Amino acid sequence: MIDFKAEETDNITTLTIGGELTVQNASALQGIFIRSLESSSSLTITLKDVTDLDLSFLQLLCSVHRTSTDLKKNLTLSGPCPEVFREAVKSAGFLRRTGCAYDCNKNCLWAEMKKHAEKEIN
Amino acid sequence: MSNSEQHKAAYKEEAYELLAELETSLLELEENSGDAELIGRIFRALHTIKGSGSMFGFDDIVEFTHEVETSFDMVRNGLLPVTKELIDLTLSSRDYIKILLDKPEAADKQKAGEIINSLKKLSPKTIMPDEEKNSPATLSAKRNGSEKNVTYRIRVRPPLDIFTRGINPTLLINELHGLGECSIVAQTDTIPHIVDIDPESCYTYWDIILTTDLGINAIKDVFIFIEDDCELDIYIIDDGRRADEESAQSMLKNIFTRRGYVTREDLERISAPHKRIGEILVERGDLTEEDIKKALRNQKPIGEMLVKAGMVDAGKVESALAEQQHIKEIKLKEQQKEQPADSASSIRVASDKLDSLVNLVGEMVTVQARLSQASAYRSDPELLSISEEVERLTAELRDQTMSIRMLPIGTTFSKFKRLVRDLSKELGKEIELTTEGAETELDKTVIEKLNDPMVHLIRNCIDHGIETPDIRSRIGKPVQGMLHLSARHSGAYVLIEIMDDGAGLDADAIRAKAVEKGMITPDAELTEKEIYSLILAPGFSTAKTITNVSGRGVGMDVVKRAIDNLRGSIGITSQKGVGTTITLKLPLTLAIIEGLLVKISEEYFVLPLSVVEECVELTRQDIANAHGRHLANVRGQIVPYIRLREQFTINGKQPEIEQIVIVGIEGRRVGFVVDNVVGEHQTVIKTLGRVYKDIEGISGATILGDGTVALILDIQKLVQTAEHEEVRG
Repeated sequence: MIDFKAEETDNITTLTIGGELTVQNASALQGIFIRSLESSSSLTITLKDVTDLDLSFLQLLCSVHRTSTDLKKNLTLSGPCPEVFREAVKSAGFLRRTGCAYDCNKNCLWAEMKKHAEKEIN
Repeated sequence: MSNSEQHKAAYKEEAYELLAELETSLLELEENSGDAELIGRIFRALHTIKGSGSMFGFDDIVEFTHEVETSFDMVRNGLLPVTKELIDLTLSSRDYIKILLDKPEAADKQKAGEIINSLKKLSPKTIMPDEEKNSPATLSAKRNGSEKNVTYRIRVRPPLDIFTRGINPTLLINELHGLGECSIVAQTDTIPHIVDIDPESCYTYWDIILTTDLGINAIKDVFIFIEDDCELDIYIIDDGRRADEESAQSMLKNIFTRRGYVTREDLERISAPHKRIGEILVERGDLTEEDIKKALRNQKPIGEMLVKAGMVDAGKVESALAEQQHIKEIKLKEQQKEQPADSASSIRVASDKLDSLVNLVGEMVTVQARLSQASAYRSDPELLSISEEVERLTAELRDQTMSIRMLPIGTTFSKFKRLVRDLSKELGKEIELTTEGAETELDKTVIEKLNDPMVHLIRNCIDHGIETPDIRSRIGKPVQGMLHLSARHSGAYVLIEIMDDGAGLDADAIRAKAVEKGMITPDAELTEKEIYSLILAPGFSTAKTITNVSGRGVGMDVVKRAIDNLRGSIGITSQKGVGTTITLKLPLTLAIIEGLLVKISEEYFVLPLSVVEECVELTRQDIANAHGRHLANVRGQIVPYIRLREQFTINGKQPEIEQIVIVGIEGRRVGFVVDNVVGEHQTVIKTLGRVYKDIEGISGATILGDGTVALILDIQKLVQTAEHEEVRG
């Protein structure tokens, strides 16, 4: 099961997602992302009460980030990162120093997390 | 010297060092038979001796060392346990290799054969299987795995439908962590846009850098479930053997740089420890060299530039960076493993170059003193400030130069380990040698000259001091005797202590012996300290039987002379039945001493300040009071004195009031009468040369600021001579 809530104010969509963010629910998540991107110029994703999370979700995030950059729309991850998300990013080897070629706005999700991770180590 | 001779000399020099290392490692291994690192070090030393020996035509050494190396290869692989016998044999082998290096013609081929045969007998065929299993050395050697670590670059692209097969690719990839040190970077460049993506497909693929000793099949096994549909590329990017070759090659490199064939920078470039990021990308086929050159024109981090230029995906750069980092870390770990302590870089300098440097600095100090004097005389402020600057720099230069000559005493200590081991075996005693303060530094010359007296003292401790195991157990001491060597700084001196827990000195026996030899009268009243110092006199030995090790009666006085020559002193404390401690007090350096400059008529002399206790006046009246005898009354105490004016037959008028410089020597106070005490003087010691070598009472000379020569007095000798004359009347 996934829990999600979408709020729209001033052309900014705030998505709050939780539950099982796994391959079983990947199609549903894809739908949510597509709709949210279509309806607003800026998308903020907050992860809350995530019980499980796997590679498919990370791929979806990458994908939605790419698309939003192409469409010149804003995508940000906000709020505290759930441990299960951080763990998944790390073990899948997704942490980055710099963003990918699509990342012209320099806001690669993974690069941000890498900076956080390094700060924590220090 | 021809080129090949030069190479041979360099090889020998290295080989001696390796032999020394071999010896220490072997002795350590004896105490610590399970240490795989030590076994590795021993093997490498043997391997390098053999390897470079063959390059320079030392065929005998190569042939012999090969056999020993073979045995240690077995130890390394856990096939041969570390036993006392093995260590004995390897130590003998080490001695034999040294003979081959020193004097190949003196080598005893038969002995070599015996060693090899005994080593071969130890080989696994003759070991009972269960014995092998039980040996801790073999077990740990196996566990630590003498297999070399190999670093692999792995790219794995799982099938698109891996999720639907019920496999979590993340878990799969992370299984690699179980094989060894592992860096994982996901590649995301093939992930489509959100409208095109099939959310249940796996687009991600991975670059993994893995260092493991388990072999390529272990890696393939991880991906066995998806073997048929996944793309799996595995390359070896660093095969561990390089580390082994490295140790052999480092010697060659040293030789090359020292002979000036190549510069150190060149070598570093050639053997750069890790590849550059661009090189890795090109090697992987992710990028061409032209791309790199194009991108390099802007000076930004190459990875960032490449990504920006759209030539390569960030993931690729990330993975290349991870590889670079991984290799760096692995190398660092290996290095730390190989050189546990002081890896400070150093160069080797011929010691005569150092000696001449010290001489030059000495002269510099002298000239600087003249400059100071001259500039003070002219009272020209500009000259004065320059001269002060020179003074400061010279002092710094002097200290630095002296510190270059300083060596830690540890090397000498570790030599004694072998001595103690061999001697105690020969005498059937069990002795544990402990050391302390091995890092204490002493002048190179002092350390060299200290070796023989130390050997003598240690032999004495083992032979006379420490009792045999049965006696020890009878009197309730631990069966294993203790010998402790320690070194520490104390002002301008270094104190070296040799302490044993043996029988201690027998004051009564020493006294009786001294009376018997006519050294003291039977009714002489001596303190314990004075009695102990009798054993330092020539021809004294209380050993009941003369053994191979000590007791020829030429021992302690030789030690004393050697220490005297180093301007040091010996102190003995002992408690019967508990043990003896011998303390050697040695000056830090022989090249420069603090001296007291004195003047007689127009002549200057220097007394070592370390022995000077005080200076008092001597008036005509005092002389008259003593009725012609050379005795002075200093605060109620009678102090005999030597008139240096008479000693050196210096003419001229003696002043109304003379000065007595009172020195403390062997617990007594003796005065030296001079005209004037000039003051303290930093004395750079110059030897007198061959012609004046045998002159008694003078130990050297120094040059003063104005160029005058001042002689340095040999206080001990002067007192001795005066005593002899007194006795003869």
